[in-house]
Amino acid sequence: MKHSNHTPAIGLDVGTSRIVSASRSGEEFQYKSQLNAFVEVPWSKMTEASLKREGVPFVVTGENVSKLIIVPGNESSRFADLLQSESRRPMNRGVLNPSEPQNAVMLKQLIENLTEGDRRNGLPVYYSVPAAPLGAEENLTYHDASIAQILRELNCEPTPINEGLAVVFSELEETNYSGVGISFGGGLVNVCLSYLAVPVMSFSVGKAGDYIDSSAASVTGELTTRIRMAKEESFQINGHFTDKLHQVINVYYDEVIRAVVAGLKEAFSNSRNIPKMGKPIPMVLSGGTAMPKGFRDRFEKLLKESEFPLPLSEIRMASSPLNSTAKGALVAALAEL
Amino acid sequence: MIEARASKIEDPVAKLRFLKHTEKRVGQVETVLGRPQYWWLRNQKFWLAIGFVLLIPAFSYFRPGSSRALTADVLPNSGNRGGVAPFRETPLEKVWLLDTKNGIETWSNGLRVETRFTTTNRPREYYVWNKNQPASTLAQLPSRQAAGIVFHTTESTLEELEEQKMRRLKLLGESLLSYVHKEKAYHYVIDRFGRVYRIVVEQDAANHAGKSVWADEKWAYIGLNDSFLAVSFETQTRPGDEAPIISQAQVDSGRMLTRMLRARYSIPSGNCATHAQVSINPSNFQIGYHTDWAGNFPFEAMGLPDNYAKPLASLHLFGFNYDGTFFAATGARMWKGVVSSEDLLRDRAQKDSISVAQLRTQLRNHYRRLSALLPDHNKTAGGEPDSNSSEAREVNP
Repeated sequence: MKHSNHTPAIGLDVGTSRIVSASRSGEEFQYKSQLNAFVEVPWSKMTEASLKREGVPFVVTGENVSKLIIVPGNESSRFADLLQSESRRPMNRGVLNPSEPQNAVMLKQLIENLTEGDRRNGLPVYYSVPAAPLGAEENLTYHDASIAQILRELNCEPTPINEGLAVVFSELEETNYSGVGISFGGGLVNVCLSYLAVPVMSFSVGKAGDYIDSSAASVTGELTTRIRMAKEESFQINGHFTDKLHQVINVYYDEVIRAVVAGLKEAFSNSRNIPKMGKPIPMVLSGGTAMPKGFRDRFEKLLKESEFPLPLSEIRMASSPLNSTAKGALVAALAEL
Repeated sequence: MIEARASKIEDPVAKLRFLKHTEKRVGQVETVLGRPQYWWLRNQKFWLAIGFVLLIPAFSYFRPGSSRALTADVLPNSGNRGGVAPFRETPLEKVWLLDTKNGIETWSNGLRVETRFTTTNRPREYYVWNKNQPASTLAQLPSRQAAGIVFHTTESTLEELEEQKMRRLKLLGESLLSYVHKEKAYHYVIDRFGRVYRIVVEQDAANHAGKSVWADEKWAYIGLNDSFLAVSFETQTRPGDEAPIISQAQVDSGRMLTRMLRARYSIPSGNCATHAQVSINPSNFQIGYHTDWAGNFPFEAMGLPDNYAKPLASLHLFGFNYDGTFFAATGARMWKGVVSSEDLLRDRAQKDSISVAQLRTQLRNHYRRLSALLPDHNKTAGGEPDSNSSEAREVNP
């Protein structure tokens, strides 16, 4: 689906696993997403013809014997499974993948595909950026500047927004944007405590969806691409597992949740900026890694056991976990118009 | 209550816009997150109460019929410090050099400056832009004297200020001074004991501010290495509203040094800012690349108004923006300046019938144009002054 040509702005969730764009036509929010990955396929006339026939987007690079077909985005997963190879990732742990030489090129291609149909001339685009890891002063300037540069090259006017804060803007309108927004992504889990739309505290935790995939893959010998597909298609936390693969995924899911809960407790216990809000605040969970059934219940159980210091009114899933960061970024952009 | 008003707004975008652009939010956030240091200096109710407590005994003591009269000496500075009125600019007394002995200058206001680390750098040469005439071009003022002061922190290793740690404190201080001397990093450094060292001579530029922007009533200054003096305190920046690490001796010396510099160069109080207020990152158009004194500089103790409340030129004149990280590094005091900058930006966008985003784009392009006109050594100072003005000489890039 193309975005409306009349959208006044775009919200972009630049995640390690997926890139999601949000636009608005009238009162309606529209979303598009692409896997933030690509595969390289050796070029042949037949492959190129069949991709064209199937309507699969691709790019041909190189000359003669080094000619390659690059399949970016959603189709990359299918092709990786088909070719029994790993898909390549432009991003890693929430930022541009330093070991991927094509990182900026592929990211630009994916963003261009997502914003196809929009009049981009000076279009405000608010794009998500991760927070620094808990207890570290990670320099995110290069990543931030690279995404901004890509968007400028696409004639957009870029503005970064903290990923956790975008979740708050998407989901916590009822509490006047006060509460905790958590985005469980592929590379990172981003947390933001907001009070009246002011980001009071934000941080990220390094164990997220990719950690589950790579850890489970190393134990089972499966490809991470296949682990991810199994995770997204049929996995349920604390369900009854008929195979080892699901058991292993469950173990690593538990580890990720425990790491986030420990991070939350540490951050809110140590901070001198803990607000005295006077009433309990909501916590909202979003992101692809939070999608399996039973995730919220498991998270709530472990958080309660940890004696989390901030009084919470509820812990709930985002209404649309895959789209909430992009929607929040769009809301922030629209608020500035 | 701000929350009650926000709750009545149904549209999420309108609600967010309201919350982001209401100045009243600052007070509420301040209340919830805790008050900044020195809040009492600016709290009118606090000073009214103090004044009331002082006046009752004074009134009974000096009641009609008493032989004594209430004079200004009895309630010194009551008009200035009472907090009933906002900070009032007082005329700067003249400060002059008394003598120089054994490498120490003594000034008429009690300031003592050690000169053994003094060095030179390139001569001061800067450009300004007349912000009241947006179509004007870059210019140099006829006088090349310093236009303002930027307060820094050395961010060097600190040791507890205790007598038994004197050797290490002295060692840290000496190595710091050697380093800033080599780097020509500041004009003045005030060490932990309040000793003032001149590093770069005042006539020269120092490498202190990097990419930076500030503006007064008329001129915008881009790149403050050349246009502003640098005063650095041997300390480290504390996040948010946490209490600054600064000794009373440093405060006292800082006040005397500020008075001396302001008096010598006729520097208006509004042109005294912290590095965090002026620092920018043009690669991503974010402010606060450096966060020295991001939220707890004792402006009042330096004899200055709370300049944290001043709008940031980077935001409202050149379309820079800020993110959550910047907010976390700053305190509630600086947030006031950010909010007032946003108000100015929004008002201008409304006046020009364009969106804030469009205005930001225009302002950023303007910044890029001005920066490109600057000489290489001064790639951050610039502006377009009145080409007809006798006050400014036009630049021919």
